[in-house]
Amino acid sequence: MLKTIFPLMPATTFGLSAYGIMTGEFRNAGFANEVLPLHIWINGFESIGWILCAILFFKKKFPQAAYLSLFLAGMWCWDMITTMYLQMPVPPMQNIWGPASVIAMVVYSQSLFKQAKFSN
Amino acid sequence: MAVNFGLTAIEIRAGGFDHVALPKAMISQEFVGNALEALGWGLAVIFMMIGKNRLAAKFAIFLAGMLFFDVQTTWTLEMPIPDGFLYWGSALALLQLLSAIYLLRTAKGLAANA
Repeated sequence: MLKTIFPLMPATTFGLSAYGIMTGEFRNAGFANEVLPLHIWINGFESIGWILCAILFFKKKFPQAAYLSLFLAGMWCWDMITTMYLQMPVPPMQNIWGPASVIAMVVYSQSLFKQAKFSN
Repeated sequence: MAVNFGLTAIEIRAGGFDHVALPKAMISQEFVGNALEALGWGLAVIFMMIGKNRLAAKFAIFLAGMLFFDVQTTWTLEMPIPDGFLYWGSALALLQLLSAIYLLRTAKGLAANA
């Protein structure tokens, strides 16, 4: 049950981030204007990616869901590191919850790999 | 890959990317990101050499994700890198994924070693 719900959390937060960037919430973060649309696109991509992950898990395609979640974790890891010290409308102490969230994604991915092994 | 990311990290440290239209707080973190990618690829090579293909593949996939995000959010910026970053950068991320597929195909044994 938790494994079904888990991917929906980043799906929601990345979707909300994309929307937030679109509506100007990140305009004071210090990004050059030209990269803001890129961040909208990529947060949207991640949101859809995690939804796809949930669908793959639901359809019992565990290895595919595992690899996808690992790739998405890598994407967020880069984002998390490079925006850590910017002023953004996100919870404080990104240097704490950021790495923790990446680890959570990797742990989730690993649990899917294990499930793939046992269902074979 | 490890060498490339390592050199990029050093270049960032040396101020080569200071003029890029990103906030200073971000440029210094780009060093951290590139350095971690260099370390990550170094580890992937080691895992491959000791036969832990599946673990190396997982590292490769995670690192490909990191690069993909980097490319997609910085390709419009003026950076001291070859032109067409969107294209060669994305192609590089794809290549990294293909290397993961290769590692998985050549992994020994039925039991996952990662």
